[in-house]
Amino acid sequence: MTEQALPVFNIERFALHDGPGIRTTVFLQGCQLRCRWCANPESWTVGPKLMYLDKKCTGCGRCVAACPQHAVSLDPETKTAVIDRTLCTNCGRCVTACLNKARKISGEKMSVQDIYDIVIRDKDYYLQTGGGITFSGGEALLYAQALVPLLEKLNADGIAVAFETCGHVPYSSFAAVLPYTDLFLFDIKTMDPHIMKQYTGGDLDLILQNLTALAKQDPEKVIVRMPVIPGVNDGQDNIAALCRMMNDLHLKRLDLLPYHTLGLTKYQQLGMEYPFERKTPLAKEAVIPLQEFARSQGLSVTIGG
Amino acid sequence: MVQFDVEGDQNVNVSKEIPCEKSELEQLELMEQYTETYKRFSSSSVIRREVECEKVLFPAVMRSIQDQDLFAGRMDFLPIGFGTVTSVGGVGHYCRFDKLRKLEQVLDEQYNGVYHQRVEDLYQFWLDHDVKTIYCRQVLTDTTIGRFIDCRYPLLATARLSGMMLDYPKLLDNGIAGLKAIVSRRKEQDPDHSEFYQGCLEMLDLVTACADDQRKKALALAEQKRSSDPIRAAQLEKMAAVLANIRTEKPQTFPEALQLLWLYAILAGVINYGRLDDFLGPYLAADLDAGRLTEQEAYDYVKSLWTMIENRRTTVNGRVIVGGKGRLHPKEADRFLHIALKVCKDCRYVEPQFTLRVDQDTSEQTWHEALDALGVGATYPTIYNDEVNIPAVAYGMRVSEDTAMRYVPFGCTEFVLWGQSTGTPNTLINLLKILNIYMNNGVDPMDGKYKLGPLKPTDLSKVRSFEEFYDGYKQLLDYYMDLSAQAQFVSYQVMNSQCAFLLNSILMDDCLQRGKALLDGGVRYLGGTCETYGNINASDSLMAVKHLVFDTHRYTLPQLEEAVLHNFEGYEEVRRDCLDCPKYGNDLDDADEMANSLYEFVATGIRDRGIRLGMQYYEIVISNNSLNTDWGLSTAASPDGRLKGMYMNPANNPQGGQALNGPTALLNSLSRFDARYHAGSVQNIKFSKPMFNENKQRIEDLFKVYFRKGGSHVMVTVVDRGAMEDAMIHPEKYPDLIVRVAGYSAVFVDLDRSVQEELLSRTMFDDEIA
Repeated sequence: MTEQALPVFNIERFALHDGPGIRTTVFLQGCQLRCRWCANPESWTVGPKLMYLDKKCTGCGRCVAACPQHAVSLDPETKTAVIDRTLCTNCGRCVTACLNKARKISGEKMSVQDIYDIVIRDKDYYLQTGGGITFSGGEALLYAQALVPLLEKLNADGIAVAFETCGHVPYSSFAAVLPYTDLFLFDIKTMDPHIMKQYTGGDLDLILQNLTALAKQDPEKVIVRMPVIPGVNDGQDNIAALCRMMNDLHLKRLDLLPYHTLGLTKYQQLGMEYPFERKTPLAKEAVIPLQEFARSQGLSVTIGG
Repeated sequence: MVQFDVEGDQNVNVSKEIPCEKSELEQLELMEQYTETYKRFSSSSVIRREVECEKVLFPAVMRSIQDQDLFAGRMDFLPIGFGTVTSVGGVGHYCRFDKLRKLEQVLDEQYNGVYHQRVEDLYQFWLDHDVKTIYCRQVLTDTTIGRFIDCRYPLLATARLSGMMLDYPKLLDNGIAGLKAIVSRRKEQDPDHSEFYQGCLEMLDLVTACADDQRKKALALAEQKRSSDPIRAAQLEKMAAVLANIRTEKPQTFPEALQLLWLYAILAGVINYGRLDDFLGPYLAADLDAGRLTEQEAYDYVKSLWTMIENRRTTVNGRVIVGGKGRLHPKEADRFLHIALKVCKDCRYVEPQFTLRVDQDTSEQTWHEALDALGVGATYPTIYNDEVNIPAVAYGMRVSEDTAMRYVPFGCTEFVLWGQSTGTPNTLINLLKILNIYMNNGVDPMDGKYKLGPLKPTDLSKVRSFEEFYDGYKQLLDYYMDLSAQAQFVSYQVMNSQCAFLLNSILMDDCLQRGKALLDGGVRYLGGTCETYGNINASDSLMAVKHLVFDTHRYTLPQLEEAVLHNFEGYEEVRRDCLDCPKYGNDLDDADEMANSLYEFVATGIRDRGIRLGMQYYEIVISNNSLNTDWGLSTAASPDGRLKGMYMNPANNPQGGQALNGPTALLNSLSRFDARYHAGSVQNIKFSKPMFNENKQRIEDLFKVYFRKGGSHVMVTVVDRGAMEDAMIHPEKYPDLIVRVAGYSAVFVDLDRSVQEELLSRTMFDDEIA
């Protein structure tokens, strides 16, 4: 297998939200979008990220001494460590120094062999449940070519593959993985290009072109996913437009994902501001009207993954 | 002579006992009568003495019938009496000194000390005659073998006859009169053992006497209720009629079969009930098909059984087993099984420990009903995998696969062969404490006592390789395993020298055939078990030593030991490094292989020793009760990063908080041990309610794959963490929050705080999105 390193920030076993059955989800760093509600801010760019949870800090100061950049100091008031992110190089020495697991580095380079060795351990569970491997991120399709050897190997083992994608990549990326892939969990955040630009920075045209091209190839391989973000895309017009398009493309399956705030702590750990106003999750029940409408349009709709 | 506290805790007792029905004075008089009888027949045979003593107890200790009971059979245990286990009464001719003291205090208060001396006389007499005390005097040592439960010792030993699962089909097929006919025939054929047979006959008459006692009580109660509650009066009359039918004759109906089985079980002092689906199913099916019983009535009877079992409050027993291979009447048994699963889901009692055996043919309906019960928080059924366990038992116990199909788990998971083997866990060994002792020149860091026996201390600074280090530990384990096997074997000798356990003997192969009492050469397979604790802490500690000292050379052995001896205080960095070493339970080959290596060394070491001593089998069980926590309190810090006094890992599970890679990884680790070498190993897995209930099919498949990979067992807890945390603050709000402690379930608020904390520490698989 070709040894090409990939920037992995998490491998989640027994994943239940990213496709059918029991799965392992491999999260890769790097994404062109900046969705304001993003739950994985550590995935935006490639490279190690220092994550620091001040709640666990006892103020022992070992990290202060360990930092070669003098980026860590003790806050005289709270007696806990603070990081000057402009100086921090994410070298990880403070992580080694910390005795309280207040610090960790997210993101490491892994070879496809390393990834394979982990995901293959649950093969029997995938086969029993119709599960498999899901590549997510970030935007995993940024590594479409690099992943092909791994996909070939998984296919040879009879393991199903899914991609969770925002669709904001050249179509050639889809084309590269399509022969090996059973399912695309294709995020459509909104049907309004202006809102798309405003809230994610992305180009909706590119995404919809990719979805159209993919649907022409094999509509059965696509589940459209819409994160339901209050005040952004939960209006009637948006769901109506989405359903129309899906019907035009013969796409039958839609997942509605209620906005959640599980990413809040991660922003704190990264020393970043949470970019979205609303700090409370959306109840599952709030999404039911959208689900009912989409069902009335002939779609098969689930809430949650 | 070795000193031990005869009034100390005798068993893992969490549930609250139902108080004795008799007044303290009545109890005293009965115990005096028992003691007098015991003395009077002391020069007679063990059998004669036992029969005469039992005649004092029965039917005198039978309780009255409770309002909700649909069949009869409740009894009291006095501080002095006859039994098999400490959970109900005591072992053989027993005295529960702790309870006798309490009774003495109550009497002193009530009667101004008038009866003080009489109680004191009993106390003093039984100091020399209580079976368990006799055993303790013979076996316990000052530093190495402690009394069950004295957690200062690395090895605990006790005399008890736990986990008897009798041949109830023999009882039901023959009835009391039929059994008596068999015994009488044997008595004629085998006059050399006529004493034994005569004892059996008289014991069987006592069963009839107790049936008559209960019948009278039922009729008297019916008379009382006739005008106030005619429905209940009719139930009681039916109960009396059932008792009349089975007093000597064999049962014809489901209520009769249930009644006879129950009555016999409680008189025999047994607290695990066996494969009730196969035993009772044919009676149930016949009644349902003939219209003698409605589904609802059947449900009510089973529920009444659940209540009877719950009310015995044995904490760690009360096994009812359904499903699996080797049932003679699978179709009829399944009808009982489905009703029982429904009762289990509705009742959510701590007992019975409702046990489901599954195999490849187990229906989807059964799986779904089982997961439904677990999903509502019943903690039962606990699921055993026949595909793995039957061949494993065949190997481990050295019997055919056909015989191995008789395996039934009792207590905290120990297997026996119903009707054919004993398997009582009379020895318990703390692998982690032994490691601590080994690493500290033979001195237990907890109390500074030297516990190395005849071995020479190891100078850690001179150890050159991990293998050398591990070999030294194995030598000490060998020493303790020798002690353990011997202690188990002697427990049978001591019990046999004092008791015949006649009611048990009658329904255990081949006592009647051989004319011998159970432990006198009667039982077909004399087996035993040794409970091991701290398995994973010990193997993770070995892993840490290997990794930090010999692989990465980060510390020397003396440096590591120094940090451990200081409970890591001032050595926080060392502890962090210890904690960061690979840990069992995460599907990591090196840590899992270390655990397996230690497991195989201990499991085969115990087994080989038992066989050498002449036992059919003597196997380890990696069971659990709250002893992992209690023993942890008396166990020093360890190289796995565990602090002094902290709970040890539960059963065969990782240390609390160390399973970090999810349920598939955990189950992959758990399925690694070769089941052939143990006689039961508890595997816990805990889910939050939403995760479990929203993903039942996937979780069912998860278990099925785990079983295919070699998993022998799974115990599932579905619970809200919030509820447990809140219950620690507001116990009054959670009277029925049942949690899985490991080998058994308990009401959470009844548990000791340290046990509650240990439970909360265990990894719970919840549903968070990355």
